Amino acid sequence: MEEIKDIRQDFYVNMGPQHPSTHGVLRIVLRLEGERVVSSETVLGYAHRGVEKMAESKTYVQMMPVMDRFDYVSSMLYEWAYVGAMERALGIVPPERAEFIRVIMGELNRMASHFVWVGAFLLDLGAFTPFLWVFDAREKIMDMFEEVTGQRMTNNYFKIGGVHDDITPEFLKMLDDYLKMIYQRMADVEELIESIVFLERVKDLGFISKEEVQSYGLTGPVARGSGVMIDTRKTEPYSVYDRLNFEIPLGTKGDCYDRYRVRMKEIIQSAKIVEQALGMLPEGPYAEKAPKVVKLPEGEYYFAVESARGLLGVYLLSDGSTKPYRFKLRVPSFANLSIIDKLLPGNKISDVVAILGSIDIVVPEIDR
Amino acid sequence: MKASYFEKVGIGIKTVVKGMAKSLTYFFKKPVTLQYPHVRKKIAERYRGSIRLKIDPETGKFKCIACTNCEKICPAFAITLKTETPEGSKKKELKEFYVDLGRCIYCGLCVDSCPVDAIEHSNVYEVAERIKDNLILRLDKIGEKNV
Amino acid sequence: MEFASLLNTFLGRVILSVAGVMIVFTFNALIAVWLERKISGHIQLRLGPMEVGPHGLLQSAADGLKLICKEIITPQGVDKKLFGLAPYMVFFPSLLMFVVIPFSDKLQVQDLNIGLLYFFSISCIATIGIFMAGWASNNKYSLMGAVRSIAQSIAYEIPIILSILNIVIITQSLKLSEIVKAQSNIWFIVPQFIPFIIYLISAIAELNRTPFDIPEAESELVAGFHTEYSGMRFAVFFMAEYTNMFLVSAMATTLFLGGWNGPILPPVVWFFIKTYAIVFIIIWVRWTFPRLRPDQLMNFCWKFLTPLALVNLLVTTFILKIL
Ligand code: SF4
Ligand code: SF4
Repeated sequence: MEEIKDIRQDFYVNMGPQHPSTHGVLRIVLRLEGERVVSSETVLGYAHRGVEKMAESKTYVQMMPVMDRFDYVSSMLYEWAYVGAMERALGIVPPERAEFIRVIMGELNRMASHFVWVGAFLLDLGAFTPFLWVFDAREKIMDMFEEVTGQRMTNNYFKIGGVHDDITPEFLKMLDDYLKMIYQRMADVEELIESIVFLERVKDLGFISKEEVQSYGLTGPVARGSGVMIDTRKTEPYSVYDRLNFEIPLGTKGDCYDRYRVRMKEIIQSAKIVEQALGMLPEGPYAEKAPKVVKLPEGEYYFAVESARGLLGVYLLSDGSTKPYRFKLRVPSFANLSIIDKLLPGNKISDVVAILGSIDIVVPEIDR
Repeated sequence: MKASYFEKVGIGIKTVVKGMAKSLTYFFKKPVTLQYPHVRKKIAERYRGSIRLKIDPETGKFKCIACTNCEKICPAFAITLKTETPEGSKKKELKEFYVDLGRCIYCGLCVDSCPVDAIEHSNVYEVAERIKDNLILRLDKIGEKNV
Repeated sequence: MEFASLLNTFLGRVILSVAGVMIVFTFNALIAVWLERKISGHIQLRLGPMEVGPHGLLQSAADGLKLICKEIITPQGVDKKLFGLAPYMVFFPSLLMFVVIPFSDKLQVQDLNIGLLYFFSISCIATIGIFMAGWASNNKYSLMGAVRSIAQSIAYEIPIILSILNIVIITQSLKLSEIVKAQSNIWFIVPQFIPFIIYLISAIAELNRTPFDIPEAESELVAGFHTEYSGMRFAVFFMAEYTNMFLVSAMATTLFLGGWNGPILPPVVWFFIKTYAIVFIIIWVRWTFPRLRPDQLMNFCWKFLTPLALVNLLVTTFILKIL
């Protein structure tokens, strides 16, 4: 009769690495008491490819296409960070037009990334329809990318000193049509999503306080959902962001719902930025002449942009050769994920997917 | 901000009706998908499809001068060149040019690096094969797969 | 003459009924799955299946064929007997439930005196099958799904029964044909709109469909109680689901939408039109909402549906007493 003293039975469930809603190959070991999570442990490394080491044996130019492959849903923002670091090292200032094209492309990419997030988040919560509605909106962005950059996802469009190609009249037409339909589509999606079921699921769930944002180093919509104003575009403006007029949406409570709201508003803001940049787009060359063989002068270089998930920094340590001596990325998803083990305990297993979804991770950028 | 019981019921009914109405309006919208094998999307001009070598229209020969720039820059090691220097001439000549589409990441670096503009992306995107070896194309021979 | 005499023998009736039920069952398995795909497709700006048959009508048949051809996998460590039996425990009750459905004034397998009671009692057996599947699978996700399923069906039986009690009180009968006849003037959906909604919501919950699909919540529990099932056994679960969808819609038609009553068209046609209208609503709901959390599901049932059904029952009896 000794054994049945403790009738409370905890058990372990392996969520992932193959699970419908861990977004790739993340693994979370959950200790459950019935449906309630007692504790959790996140295990990383299933998509580790050693890219930072690989960069040391590739030339600077060869690394360009690889930059697309960390966060494949907002790849051009990654290119931007890398190109920015190299331009800083070489002292090249891209021409005006290139900067505006970069802003347009970057914001479109941010929108595309947020669309994926909205869709996947709702998919985690069990709704399939919003996923396809926003993917339709995303698909049109992909079509525009294909028109200008030649590829839908891994674009490899940014070059040292500018961009690879000029934008085309066809693209401008597509963009015009797109900006006309996107606000309506967003309103529709919002109306569909925000039913009582959704509100009940995400409100007052997974609170992140302002102090936690600081101590865990959270950035991006996760930090802004808690009302912390961190956005590289405003706090440390790069490119021409200081000349554009836009708002940074902030949450108040820091729950899943606030994070959702922040991202939805950011999509609208990005569309507004694109509109503005389009109006300010100057004539001129779209790229500065770049050296044929890229050799960075000796030293350390760092450039940070605001990726769709938060602060993204590229750090290059050069010894003067054609290859970086050390290449390091500061990726937002990794820092943002670090808080997950703090958020999960005490919640139900259904909330695990909601909280994980609200953080918005991309596993290849975490594992690198 | 805890809504009272009846408030919540009110919100619930309102949002549920709204959501249902929205999905019904979309039910009557025109689908946006294409019936793929029957209907094809227009591919953009700049689309980076599979690699091919350009032919000089004047001489009818490949433009490639076998400089091996593309082989060196390819980050995925997809290009393999075999060159040959004929007796009595200093210039290298192209003997065999292979591209492994199974390795190619369609990045466009080879096209950018070519000094004589001899290599380009086609608009072909359906390159699936049953046997992996068939993905290795020999580009300097106009074969069935070289488009 | 021969045919008519055959109808009168007991054996003849049994054979004809089995054949009839199988025809309706097969027809529904094709149509309901097709409808689900088409409606979800069009809501999501897609087309749905288009290749097999005209507008993909035969897609379900093709999928069924594929599932039949697949190897039956029994994972290691499962309770083999229960594991094999469970799909049929879910499936056969749904066939049995056909017995009392009044397709028209003449087309009914057996017009039981306690038809309504029979229908809802048989429907409870399926839950045991689901629990068997989850228990036998030797998988934590399956077990969790099974436990959720039990909690859910116990909870949602109550509002269902409370809502149909109104009908029983009005008609003073549990006999389905009589309930339909009582609606020849006015459908019960008009005086009993709230019970209709309660019935529909609870029926969706009983069917384990979104937004109440917590036993198979695929983003949380992979596939819930049928995680370990594949091939034909999975197909059996799948067919049972769609047959049940037809059955609850048929019951809603019988109880609230006047059954086979209707002008001009023959009664059977009316019955199917109404039933598939309800099926449409159920599918439409599924493709609009996310999933509830298990505890919210229980709250919704105990704190909202059940009290509402009770109040409604009180009001109905009160009005009937006065009149
Ligand atoms: S496109 Fe990129 S990967 Fe493909 S052959 Fe050219 S350089 Fe290599
Ligand atoms: S870079 Fe151009 S010329 Fe040089 S080997 Fe390649 S294709 Fe030929």
